[in-house]
Amino acid sequence: MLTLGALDADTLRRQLARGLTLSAGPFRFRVQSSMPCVGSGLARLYTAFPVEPDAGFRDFHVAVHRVAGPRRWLRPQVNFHLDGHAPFRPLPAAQAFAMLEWGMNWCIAGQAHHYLLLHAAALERHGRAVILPGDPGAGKSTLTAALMLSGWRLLSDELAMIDRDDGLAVALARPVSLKNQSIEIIRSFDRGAVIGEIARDTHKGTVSHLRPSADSVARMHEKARPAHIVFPRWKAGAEPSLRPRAKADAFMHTASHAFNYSLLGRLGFDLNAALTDACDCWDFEYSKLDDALRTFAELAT
Amino acid sequence: MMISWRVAPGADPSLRAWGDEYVVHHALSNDTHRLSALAGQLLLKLACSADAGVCDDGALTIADHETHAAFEALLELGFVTQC
Repeated sequence: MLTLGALDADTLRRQLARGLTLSAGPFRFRVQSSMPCVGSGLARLYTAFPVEPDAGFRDFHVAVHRVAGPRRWLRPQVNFHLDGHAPFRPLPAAQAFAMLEWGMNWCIAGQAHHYLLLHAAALERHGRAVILPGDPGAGKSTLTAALMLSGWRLLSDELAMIDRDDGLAVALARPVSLKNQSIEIIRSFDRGAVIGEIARDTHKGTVSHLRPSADSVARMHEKARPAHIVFPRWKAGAEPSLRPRAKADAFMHTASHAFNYSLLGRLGFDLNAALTDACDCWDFEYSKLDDALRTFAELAT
Repeated sequence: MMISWRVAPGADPSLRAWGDEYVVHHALSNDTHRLSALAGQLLLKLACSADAGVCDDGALTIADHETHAAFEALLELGFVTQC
């Protein structure tokens, strides 16, 4: 199996210019770009991902291109394309790789309706998946990154996908999105963490991405049985506190944070109910990652 | 005054309960609601009796005030209607 990391820089550049087929979990993306920072971002963060022959069915044909016109000499911009259409406004060229990541998320969130798509992270250990829905600022991605760097298998950072056929959590294993202070927190947490280029002044602040672990990528076609739904909340100075959350409340929260709950109608209700049935539901407050890791280690046993 | 209630046409409620916590989906509006324990139990009973034909017309006749209030809440959400 050819991996993206096995391509030398010239080959990657040429393949990316005409379209490179990248597998991420159940999806095949045809990614096209002539921007060097997109190539270097892919090489750094998607190193272990399989690259497939540029033929056959691809779920999404995406591209990140420079925006033409005189502006390109003053403030160069890029745009994201799906099937040749540009659904978003252009962004500064320095945000090209971040825009590709956001665009790929948008493709899945808007079209992969054979899954219940929750705005949540998901990780697995010992065959049991933990779903982490999180409001912005709750520390979800930081916690997800720390868990993955501590041996948990990353299923997904932004999009927890529940298979409608068997209720299992599906893996994507794409890079973890880190924002603002969490970038340095994770860099300090694990000096070996591979973090991509930093994009500043985005609509989310300063953004970068963390390379998924080799184990997460190698097992990205392996589903996991959901066992816990944990609502994390980082709070300065807080002692770690794991408290049961009422299941009906957890149900309503995950439903309101799903991308396609309403679109799936009764099926969405049934899938979310089955997920809630299968899981213990918790509120988790913490301030230190080491405390969080200990708590999650207990959950995994 | 005695009032009889039945499941509203098209509501086709789907209920899930965890202890005395209830959530319910309304088929016609595609809305999901969390219900009080009493409202959940009443709707469950009403839906079951309609499904099983326990009552001739799948309806419940209610007299006490608290139960009436729970039915009013279900009426507001479109799950029940008066016979």
